[in-house]
Amino acid sequence: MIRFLKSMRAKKNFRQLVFSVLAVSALLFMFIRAQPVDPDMHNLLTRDLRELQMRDIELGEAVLQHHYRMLHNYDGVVAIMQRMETLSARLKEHQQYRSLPDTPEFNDELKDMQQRIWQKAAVLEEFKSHNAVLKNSFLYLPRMVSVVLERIAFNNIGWHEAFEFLLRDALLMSVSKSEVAHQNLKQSITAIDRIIPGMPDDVRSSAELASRHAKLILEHEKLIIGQFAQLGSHGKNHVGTGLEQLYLDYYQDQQLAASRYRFVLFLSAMLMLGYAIYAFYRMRGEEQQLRIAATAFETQEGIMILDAARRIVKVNSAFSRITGYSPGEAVGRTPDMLKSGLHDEEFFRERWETLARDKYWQGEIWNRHKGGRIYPIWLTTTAVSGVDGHVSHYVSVFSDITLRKQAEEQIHQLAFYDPLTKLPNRRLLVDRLRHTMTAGARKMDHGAVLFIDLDNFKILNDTRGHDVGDLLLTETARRLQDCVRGSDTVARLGGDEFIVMLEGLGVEEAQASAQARAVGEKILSTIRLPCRLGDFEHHSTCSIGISLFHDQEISVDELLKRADTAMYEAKSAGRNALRFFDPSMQAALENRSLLDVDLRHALSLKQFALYYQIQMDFENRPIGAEVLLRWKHPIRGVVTPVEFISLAEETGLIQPIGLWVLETACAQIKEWETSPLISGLQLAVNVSARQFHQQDFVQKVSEVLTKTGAAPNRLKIELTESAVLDNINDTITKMHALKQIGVRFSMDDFGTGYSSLSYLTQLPLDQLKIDRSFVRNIGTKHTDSVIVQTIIGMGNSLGMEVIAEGVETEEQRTFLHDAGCLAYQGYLYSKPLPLKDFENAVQCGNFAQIGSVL
Amino acid sequence: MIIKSGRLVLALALIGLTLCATAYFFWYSTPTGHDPQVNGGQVDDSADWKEPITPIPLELKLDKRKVALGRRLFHDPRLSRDDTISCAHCHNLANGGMDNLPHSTGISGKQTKVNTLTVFNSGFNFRLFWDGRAATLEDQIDFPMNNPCEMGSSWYEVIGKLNKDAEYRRDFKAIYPGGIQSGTVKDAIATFERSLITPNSKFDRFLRGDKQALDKDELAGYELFKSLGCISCHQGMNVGGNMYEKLGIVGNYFADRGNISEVDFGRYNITKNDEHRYDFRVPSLRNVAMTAPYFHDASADSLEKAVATMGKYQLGVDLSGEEITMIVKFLNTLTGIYRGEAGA
Repeated sequence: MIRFLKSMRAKKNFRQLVFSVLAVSALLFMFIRAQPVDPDMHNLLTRDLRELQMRDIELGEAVLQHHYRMLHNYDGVVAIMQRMETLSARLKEHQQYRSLPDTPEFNDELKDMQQRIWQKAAVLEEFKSHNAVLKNSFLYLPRMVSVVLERIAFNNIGWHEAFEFLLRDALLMSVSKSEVAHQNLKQSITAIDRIIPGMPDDVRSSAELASRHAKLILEHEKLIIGQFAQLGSHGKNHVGTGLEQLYLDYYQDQQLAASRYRFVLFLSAMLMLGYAIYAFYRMRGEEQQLRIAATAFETQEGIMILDAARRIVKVNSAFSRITGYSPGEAVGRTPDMLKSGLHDEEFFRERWETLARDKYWQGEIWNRHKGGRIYPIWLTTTAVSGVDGHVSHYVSVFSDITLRKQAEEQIHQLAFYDPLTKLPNRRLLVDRLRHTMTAGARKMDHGAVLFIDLDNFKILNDTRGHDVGDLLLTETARRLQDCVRGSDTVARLGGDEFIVMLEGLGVEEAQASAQARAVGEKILSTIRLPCRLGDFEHHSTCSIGISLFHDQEISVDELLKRADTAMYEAKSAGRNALRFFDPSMQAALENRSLLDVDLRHALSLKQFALYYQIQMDFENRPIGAEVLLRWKHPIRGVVTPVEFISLAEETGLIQPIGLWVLETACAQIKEWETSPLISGLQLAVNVSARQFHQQDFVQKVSEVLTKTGAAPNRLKIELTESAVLDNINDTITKMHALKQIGVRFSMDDFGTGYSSLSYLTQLPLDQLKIDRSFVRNIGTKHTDSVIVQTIIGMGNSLGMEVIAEGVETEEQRTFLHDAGCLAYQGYLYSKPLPLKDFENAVQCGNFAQIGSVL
Repeated sequence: MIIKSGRLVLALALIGLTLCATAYFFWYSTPTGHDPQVNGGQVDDSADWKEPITPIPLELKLDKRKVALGRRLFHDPRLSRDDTISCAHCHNLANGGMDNLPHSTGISGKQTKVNTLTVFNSGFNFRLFWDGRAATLEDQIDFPMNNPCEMGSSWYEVIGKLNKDAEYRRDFKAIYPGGIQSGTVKDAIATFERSLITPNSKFDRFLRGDKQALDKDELAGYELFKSLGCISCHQGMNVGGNMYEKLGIVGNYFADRGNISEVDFGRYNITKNDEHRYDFRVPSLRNVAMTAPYFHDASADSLEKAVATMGKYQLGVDLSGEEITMIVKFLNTLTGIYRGEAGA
């Protein structure tokens, strides 16, 4: 109700109200006017009018009847008069009830009618009295006359005549009532009056009485004529006729007017009906629109409608679902109730300013759920203006973007972080490095990159499984993070490679270097600490390569490569160490890459050659020879395997080179078949781990043997312990396969690897080669001597040949011989010789001469 | 909102219709076409006009409560200023409806100027009082009430006194919504007065067909009454009471009597028309045997004298003793029976 009244303030609403009131009034007016004269009232009125006229007629009739002695009882005529008076009063009353209008015409007519009735009433009274008198006089006159006529002498004709005439004229009078009769009677009375004085006494009283009555008759008959006129109802002009006529005319007019108004009302009704039908169909359409709007309103997105004063007027169910507030709790309050406190006032001020200016604002807001939880929403607010141009409402639509944000977070994580260790990945690290290097350049600040590689991680992965490997990685990541400050970055590059980026190490290189080393050492010792992986303890070490930077002179990639190089240096140095990158390393690096280029062409340029080192038994008889690869570079000179083999293995060139070696060796075996001295020699060929574990190695060897036609049993493949251990199962399978063909196997550098003795028994080895490091220390290091003895004893027990390499002194030979080792290789006998020299030496049986060079 | 306004429109339309219908029914309420009872139960059937005298109806349909209340009021002296005079004081019901005195005595011993007429059958008179100044019984009540020689009171006083009476208040409230007012008091008293009918006189029984009701002399008396012309004025249901006539048609009554006073002018006092001088309302001859003395001046203390006077001055006859006796015998047959109940 209050709202209705308030809405009246709006001019438009007020106008509508006024219009409605006017319309209703007009309709009501027409409806009232359309009422015909009430039929009941009309009937009453016309009945009364009719009756009035009828009574008037009755009155006239009754009066006549009375006069002509047909009626003797005045009760009737009194009743008629009273009835007329009552009807007249009633007709006046009708004016009160609006059935007779209050116009001067009607008022005059009514007054006139009333006048006539009053007059008639008065006249009636007169009539009654006079009539009674006349009645009696007409009774007595004949009587008196007859008495007189009796008493006077029958011969007095004059007197007889006079009285007879008197009687006659009186009777005539009663009948004719004309002026002539009146005069006659008058004359007769005059005549009698003249006679009376001369009459005898006994007659005189009767005669006087007769005269008296005749005079009464004369008097009253005259009056009665007038009374007849007034009481009679001749013609059509009865009491009430005029009024009836007037009323009927009025009635007709009213009916006509009413029927016109009825018609107008009918038209209005038709119009309204038409409009109602039209409005109904339009309403249906609008209802449809509304239904759509209502459905749209109840969308999955939260909708909040504010009024101009920023108070909530309506919310949808999605709003409640997202914010936790029911419509009842929200309506009437401002959106401030949703504030989380994470945005400052500036944020909101800017929002409302934008809204005021652009009528639109969109953005992310963090709100607080009713239960206290903070959640982000994507909010769009639009300002709605009313017809007057001012903002009337604000409509806000928002959706909960918690999940989207989480997805974004996740993507960010995936993009920039390693899933396993949650450390920044390469991408993020590169980005940070770039950033730091740029920042550092301005400040001349030093930073460092530590390239950390876990040692022998692959073995662990293979032996214990990847799950355990992952455990180690995560533990490593944790430990690395503990070693650095918050501002430094620990990243995982992949596999078992980690990068630690240190920044803000100061402007002085020496200091920066020292700090970097300190961190590196800390990392080394931390990694070295035992690590519990599952249900066993693991000891792990790492190799660290450190590269400093302090401006943008190099690229990020270059920096990482330097650190990498340094790390490899550390690895080469024996692992569990840290190395700084330095320019010489750079030189070595460059050299290495140059070497790599040369090496690639070496094979095609036939720069490789095989050298042979003799193997002797305890009786100085040649039993075999080890094939060694030599690279004769035109510029470099002779490059020993030490220098290029690792490179070849890294680059994969070892495959073709190894194959060439095999082919060449086998070809040589074939060639020596015809030489009696050399044909009995076994050629031992070194096969690298990589080469050996090639999938088609067995096939290749077999192919080579077939191609060259060399006897398989002349070929002895030398495998290092580590090569065997790389993939023990594969080794066993391949060895067995090759053994089938007839190839022999020897374990090189025995004692330096990590092999377990149980594997040893599984391998179809023919020979064990005691590593030169042990042989060297015979006599000096007791433990190594014991090892040698043990190896010899074991080999012999297992039915394997044992040969010692690196025998350089006679003392060593003697020891070995005593221990039970019956084959020897080393400088004591000969150094590796090229083919021609070797063939000559064997032919001559004279190695001692040639073999002095180390 | 629009969805709801459809129903709103319908509701408004219904309300509008109802309002219109109500307006129609109240605006055009018809006046009750009832006839106010005039002289209650007045003769209206034309059949009885022909006979000069018609019998009094045996019963009248009147409201019993009003009659009972009116009876109480009629006998209540509080209607007079000094609480001494009630209507019944002059119009004694046990005595024939009047006091048989030449003039009645009002409060403080004051005397009325004319002889008191009987209250019985007064409902059938077309006018009341000798000069016919009251048209209805209701109008008549005002005159004795306000007359200093009679009750000397006023409506203000009377209503005040009546209001103090709890019984009157209760009874009036029960019958009249308006309570004690001059109109309602008059209505009650008038209704009672109308109930004072005396049907079943000998003559009425004769009129109704009982030929044995009148004896020879009485019948002869009736014939004389008619043939002499007395019937010209004394006709109708009330044997008079429905017209005016001059006292002294043939002879000059007042000249012979002398001592003419204002009351003798009769109707002239009301109409101021010279023609109406000495005109009086013809009195009813019902129960005339009980209502001596006769004429407005109470000049006749016996019916015989009254008859003789009438004959002399109205008809111009000297009636013989025998004629008078027979007429008087007839007049005696007009005495009816008041049952003492409230009419119907």
